[in-house]
Amino acid sequence: MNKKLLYSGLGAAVVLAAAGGALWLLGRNSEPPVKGGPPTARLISSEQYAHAISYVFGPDVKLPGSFPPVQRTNGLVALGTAQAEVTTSAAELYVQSARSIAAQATDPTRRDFLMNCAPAQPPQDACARNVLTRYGRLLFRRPLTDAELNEALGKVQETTRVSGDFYQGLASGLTSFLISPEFLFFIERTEPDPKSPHHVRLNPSSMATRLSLLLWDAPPDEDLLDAAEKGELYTKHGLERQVDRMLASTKLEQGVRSFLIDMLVFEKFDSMTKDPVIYPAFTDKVAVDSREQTLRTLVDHLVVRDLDYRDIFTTRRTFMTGDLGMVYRVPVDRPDIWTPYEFPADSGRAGVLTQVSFLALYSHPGRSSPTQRGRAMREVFLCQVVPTPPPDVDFSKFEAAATTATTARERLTAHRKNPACAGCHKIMDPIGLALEKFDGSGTGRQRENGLPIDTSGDLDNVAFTDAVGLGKAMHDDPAATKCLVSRVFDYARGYKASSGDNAWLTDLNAKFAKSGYRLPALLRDIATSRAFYAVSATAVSAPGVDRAPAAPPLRTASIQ
Amino acid sequence: MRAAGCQGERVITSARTGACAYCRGGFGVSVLAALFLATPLAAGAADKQTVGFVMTGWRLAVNETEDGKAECPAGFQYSNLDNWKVQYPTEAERDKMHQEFGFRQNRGKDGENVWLYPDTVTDPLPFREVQSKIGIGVNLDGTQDGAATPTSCVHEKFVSPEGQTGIDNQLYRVLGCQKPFRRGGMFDTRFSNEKKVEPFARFLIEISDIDNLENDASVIVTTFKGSDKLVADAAGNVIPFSSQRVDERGPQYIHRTRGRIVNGVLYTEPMDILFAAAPNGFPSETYLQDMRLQLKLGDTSAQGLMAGYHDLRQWWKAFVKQTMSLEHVTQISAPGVYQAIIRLADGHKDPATGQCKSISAAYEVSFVRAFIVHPDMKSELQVVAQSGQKPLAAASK
Repeated sequence: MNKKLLYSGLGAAVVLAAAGGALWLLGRNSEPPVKGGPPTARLISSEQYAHAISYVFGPDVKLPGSFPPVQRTNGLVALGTAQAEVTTSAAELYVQSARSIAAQATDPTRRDFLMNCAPAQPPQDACARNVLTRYGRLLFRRPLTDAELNEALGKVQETTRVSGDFYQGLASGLTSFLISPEFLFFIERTEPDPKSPHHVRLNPSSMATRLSLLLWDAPPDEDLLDAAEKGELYTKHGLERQVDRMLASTKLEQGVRSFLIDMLVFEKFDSMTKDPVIYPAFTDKVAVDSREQTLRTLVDHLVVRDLDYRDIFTTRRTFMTGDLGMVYRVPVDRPDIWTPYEFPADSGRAGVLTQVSFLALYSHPGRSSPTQRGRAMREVFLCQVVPTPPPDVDFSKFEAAATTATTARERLTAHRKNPACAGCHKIMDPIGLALEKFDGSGTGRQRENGLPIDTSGDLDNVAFTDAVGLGKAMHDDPAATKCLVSRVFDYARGYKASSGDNAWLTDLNAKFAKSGYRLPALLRDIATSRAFYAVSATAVSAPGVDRAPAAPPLRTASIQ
Repeated sequence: MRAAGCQGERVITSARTGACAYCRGGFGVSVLAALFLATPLAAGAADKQTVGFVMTGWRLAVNETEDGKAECPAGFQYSNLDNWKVQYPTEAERDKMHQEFGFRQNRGKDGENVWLYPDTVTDPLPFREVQSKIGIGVNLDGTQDGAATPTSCVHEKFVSPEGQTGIDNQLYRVLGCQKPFRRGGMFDTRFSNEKKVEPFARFLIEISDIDNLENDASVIVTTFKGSDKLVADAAGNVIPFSSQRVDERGPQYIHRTRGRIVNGVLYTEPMDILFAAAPNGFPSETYLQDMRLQLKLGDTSAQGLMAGYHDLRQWWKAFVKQTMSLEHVTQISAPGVYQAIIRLADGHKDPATGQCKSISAAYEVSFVRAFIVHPDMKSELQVVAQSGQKPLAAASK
């Protein structure tokens, strides 16, 4: 045998053996490098707050209300939470909510669920310590420090002394947790990375929280905290076991719903209005149902059925209520409940773009808006930014055109002839006009002001003749899947990816394609990746001391 | 399941067969045809249309002038209180009556309740029936002069406001001078609201076997009881195109007949129907014999008349149920009405006695388009077949 070949073969065998011995490590190491961002401190959202309370105290605990919305940043509200502060008025809401929840949790009907000790028998301190230790850990998503526990115990003792009621004292202790920045903010902490002396990594509880927010939009449960505190998330097997457990949980649907609400800009429903004279069938109930219809459709498609993401632009399968049926003008077998429904092939409807939620949300109160629809398609589903109109546009020209034009296409022609407008309208209008056979409420129509509607156009040179064709063009557009991948990755980490993440995102896109564009597979790839947990902070000077970003200030005196 | 009244877009999977039924086009292709394959009606019915409607309001067809002088020259009807005062003219007599019999309704000869025993007393005040020649309705007996026939009694005809002669509406003659039944009156309002707020009284019609919605020599018209809510818009108008399920508990309310469409107006052939009603929130049933519809069909609604004969016994039972507890506010005197419907009855003559057992009536009705959802067509057909109704197949085109 040729010596050179022999050495080569031996060398290959050595490499293979090494690879076999540490496949996951190699796999993770084979990921394109990412720089990672700084640890974040994200304000808890209303949905995350509700999920946390439901898990910790039970689903029957009523929340007094929702909290002020957070500014959308770089396409996602989730990114805005990392820059949010708590105003005085918001802090008062948190205090009211905390008191209400603590009172409910300790009322006679729920005490047995909360307590695992007998407070009537002295010493009560031991019972209070027991309860506070357990619930403090769940609310702070990490074990309490001795100082935190003792401070809460002090509140319990003082309130019990003044009121003469141990449960009021306990409620006081729980309230102190619920108004703490440690609960209201997801504050990520780092620790020295033992495998890389000059770098840091997320500490176990921060890693668990980042993972749980991605998959469940909720704080970690006890199983995940247990695993994190044992260091299991730092091992391939331990991390995958937790990720797979969480992906198999029904809470995944809750997590995906939250992501979709954010991605689809559904907070716009809060301010949407429709003219009741023009669209009498578009009631408040229809607005609520249309939002729910799209979420049900997508969760069913992406999670329950685990189907190709691209098919959300072409699927005719959805869910229907009686109220929605009046807008779609279709019969519903069970008008009193949500019912599976499939549009017929010749209905002109296919995909999320032809659902009432999208069509109505991106329309004027009294008429459709191809421009709004086109812009939303670009920004929401293709992650392309369409600039706002320049400040010196003379809208009177177009308003005059609107009075004489018969169809939306004619009106928008004026825009596209104006050089100041043409650049943007050329990318919005052709795709928006494809949906013109649906009015501003989403009801189908064949004519506008007596004239037949022309829905032909193109999406970046891919021609189509109608809304169904537009859906197919969106389905086949690589920008759509890339957009989803980048949105999920940004949502997962809480900050926008930078150019340093490009190689990793390219790799993630390839894996997404290989999976058949399955969202759960994408979530698993992210959740088990090194990039997801990467932080860019430099090593701490004193090993063993956690570092964390400063929590945004609670600008209130009343919360103290 | 199947649904009718499809417009544009729909696939429904049959719960029973798993088969799919399709609707397409402006008013939808009839799915009825696919399910009628075993019947002679199905022949050549592949491209037929089916449309559905749900009733949103009905009121007794009362032709009324602003001050009522033309139809009620002597004034409006006397109430139970008015008659009671005449019947017991002095305070002493009234006190005695109260002590012996209690309520004013108990003014029968021996203290009977005159709603339950209306023939125990004759109202001392005259009964004011409609005097006008103008009335709204349909020619039900086929005569122009109201002369007696083997099945009808002699009666006076009305002329419609549009000049059509031979109109029958004897119930208008009885109730047209009763304030509660005139526009804005208590029963008029409650009848109108009933269809909006009482799912129990949901009345559905389905027109099938349609070739042309403007003119069609023969269509099939079926009535059903529904049970689903109606949704109103901000102005209080019922929103069209809701899905209305046929109430499976009400097979007795399924009735079918032939009809024709002339210049967009549906005319149905007579059939006896029973339908649920709850005009004052009291669930009841209304039996209308030889019922026929005249409806102007629109894209989203239909308006017109529903006319027929009320069986006296059944109508009186429903009337008592709806009015007895409201005597103090309705200004109705039961004995007068009871005796008037017997006196003015014009239909279903008993050959043995010569007495007519029903009274002609007409209602102004309004509908909006709806999707009629059928839980189980087979049982529905069986019900129709077993009900002894006219064999429609023999009358097919």
